[in-house]
Amino acid sequence: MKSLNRSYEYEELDTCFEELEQRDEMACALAVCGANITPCLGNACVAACIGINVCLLGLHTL
Amino acid sequence: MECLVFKEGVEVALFDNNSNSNSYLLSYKGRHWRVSSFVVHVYEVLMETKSVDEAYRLINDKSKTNISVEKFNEVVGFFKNNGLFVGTDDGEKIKRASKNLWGKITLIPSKTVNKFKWLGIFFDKRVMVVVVLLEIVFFSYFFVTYNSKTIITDLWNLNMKELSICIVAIMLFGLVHEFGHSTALMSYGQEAGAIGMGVYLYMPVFYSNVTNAWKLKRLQRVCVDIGGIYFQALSICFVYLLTISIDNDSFIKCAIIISALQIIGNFNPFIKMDGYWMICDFLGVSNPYHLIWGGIKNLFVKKKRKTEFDDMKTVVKCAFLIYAILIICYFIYFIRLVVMLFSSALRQIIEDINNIGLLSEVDISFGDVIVFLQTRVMLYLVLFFTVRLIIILFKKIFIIRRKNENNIGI
Repeated sequence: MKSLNRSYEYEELDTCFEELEQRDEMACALAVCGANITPCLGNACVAACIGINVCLLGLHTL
Repeated sequence: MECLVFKEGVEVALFDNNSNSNSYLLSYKGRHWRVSSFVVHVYEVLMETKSVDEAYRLINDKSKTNISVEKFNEVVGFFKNNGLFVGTDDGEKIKRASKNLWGKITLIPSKTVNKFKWLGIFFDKRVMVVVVLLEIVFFSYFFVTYNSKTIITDLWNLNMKELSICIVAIMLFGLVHEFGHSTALMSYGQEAGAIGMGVYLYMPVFYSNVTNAWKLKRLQRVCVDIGGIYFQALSICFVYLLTISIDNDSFIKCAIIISALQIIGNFNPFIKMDGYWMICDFLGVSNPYHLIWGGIKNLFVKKKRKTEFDDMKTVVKCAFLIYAILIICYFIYFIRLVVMLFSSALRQIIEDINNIGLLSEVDISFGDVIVFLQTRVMLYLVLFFTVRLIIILFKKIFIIRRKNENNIGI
């Protein structure tokens, strides 16, 4: 970035420096939704984990 | 005359964030900052000159705007505080980890993960197109033909051994998923971080550290996000084809079904699952939660702070607004869910305590203990999560109050 030969132009002096978070890509382990066969909690976890209720997929029979 | 030299390894590159104005990425030892062009110019003049005074003079000569000493010092202070100059603390201790991912355990260290770089062949465009098409055909067939009632019956009928194999298989699929993210990152020439286990909010999760993905272009980052699902789906197809040719055990089918459902779960765009990162990278937003919170705070103050939102293109702004509304709705639902789970967990614990007296009257097998633990894992995680959340909130309130008191004192 050799830039000393050019001039700097700013619309405004923006001193933005935001640290980007550590990227941890995650996936549900233990499949609490499926392996933990406690109907209410399992279903609630699936709802939280999947965001859509698994009832849509037919698991409402739990 | 103060002389400041940047450490070896401090890098600056253009940051692909799909906005109207240029943003840059400043990186050092696995930490990354999104910075403005002014910050980069200060970095450039500091690299080329021998002293801070000289750098200040030079940047003022070259710029058409008058740059105040305060603004200049603010940027120099940022470099100093983050240990980017020789002779300053490395800042390793203040590395910003995800607060909601706790209890992290490394399962596969970074060095080992990077030995699997050769798997990057799966991210060759032509190979990927063929494999993705095959996966779509397989999963369409799988979801159309499977009978949910049979699967549920099968699940309930599993014995302890089968259930254990089922859980191990699901966990292996999860690990393959994480390898997918790391491999995608390595295929773009970046070093992958460790793979491990932890608890995200109250859910046990596998994670792979792909922080270096920030250095990639937007669509490459999206590819890293898809990488996990791509690999998991591939392994499911492989195991399915392998098992139907050997035998027809229902517990393997159960593992496959649950793992396939996990794939759908991973598209959740509101918590930090793959869907979240896909949307963030596609829109070019680095942290939607911060952006929403900043926007809400801006509604109540006179002097509005400039946010990433201001630099967004109009189409991206509209898409982000819809996304932000959905995030807020989801969090209302999520809070309700946590309250419900918390009260359920409390009730269960009280019931368990009351039942302690009855233990001597019944025969308890090893299987009973396993089933008990299995059903309580989630309960205790929810309890621990909620208590931890309350403590963090109290700490934050306490810190803010102390700050305010100190300000009044000044």
